[in-house]
Amino acid sequence: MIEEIQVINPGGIPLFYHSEAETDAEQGGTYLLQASFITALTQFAAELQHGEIKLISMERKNYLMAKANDFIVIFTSTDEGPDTIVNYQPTITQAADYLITKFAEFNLTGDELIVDKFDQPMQDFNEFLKEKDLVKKDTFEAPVFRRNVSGFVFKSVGYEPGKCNIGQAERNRRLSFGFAWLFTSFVIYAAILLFELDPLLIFVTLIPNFLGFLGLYQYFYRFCTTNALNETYTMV
Amino acid sequence: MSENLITIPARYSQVVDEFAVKKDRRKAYQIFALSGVTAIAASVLLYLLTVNLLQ
Repeated sequence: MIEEIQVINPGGIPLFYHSEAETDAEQGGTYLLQASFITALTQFAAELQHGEIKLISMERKNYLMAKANDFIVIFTSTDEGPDTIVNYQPTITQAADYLITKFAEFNLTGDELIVDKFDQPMQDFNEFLKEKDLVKKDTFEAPVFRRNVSGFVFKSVGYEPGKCNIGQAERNRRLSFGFAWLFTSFVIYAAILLFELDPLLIFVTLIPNFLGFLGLYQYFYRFCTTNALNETYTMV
Repeated sequence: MSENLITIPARYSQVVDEFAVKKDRRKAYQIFALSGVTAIAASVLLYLLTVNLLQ
């Protein structure tokens, strides 16, 4: 019996997860770990043998895999030998073919960065699995699932939305940037005093002051404004 | 090979959550505003200081 079904993108981000068994995997983000593990193994296989991994057999868990373009579909069964799960080969191929059609319909590739574009195809995939009687306990809701995944990923990398989106190295860069601009401002100010120029020229320091304080605030708040506007984070 | 493996964690940034994006934008604008106000205050202060010094 297939107990878990998962779809992951080429970066190892789970797009779909379903478990028939009573498990806390969904709450604990175990599927995220599984996805990373399988992505790493798949990349190893591609680099070492230019091939695909079709089956991973562990003592208590077997993973059957199929590629849907750049994406991976995974069927998991526990407490059954690898001989049993390979019987699902035609089904997983059908599932992969279904996904290929869906991705084409929604014009999605493995390079797609905005994961919410996968909401509808994944919801449709859930319906497809229900038709195939592979999903009995229907609990999948794409937006909720996506939010859980991002929550786990954000936590694991140390990113906190609206609070912290840069690591120590990036903070130090912004501190240096801030001091450099404040120093520029000081040089302008010193020149005005030294050459007794018009005091109104002081307002030329507005720009270096702004950039200087921007650097310092980014350092103190552990927050990069450019990252925020570009919808990224740099936790290094 | 190693390059591909190293890029796995970095590609976690593919996960973009709309609530996170909104929170981040709000914070970015707050920092811009704070920097602007501080920069203006600093420049005005310097101006007043200079005017007094040059007198």
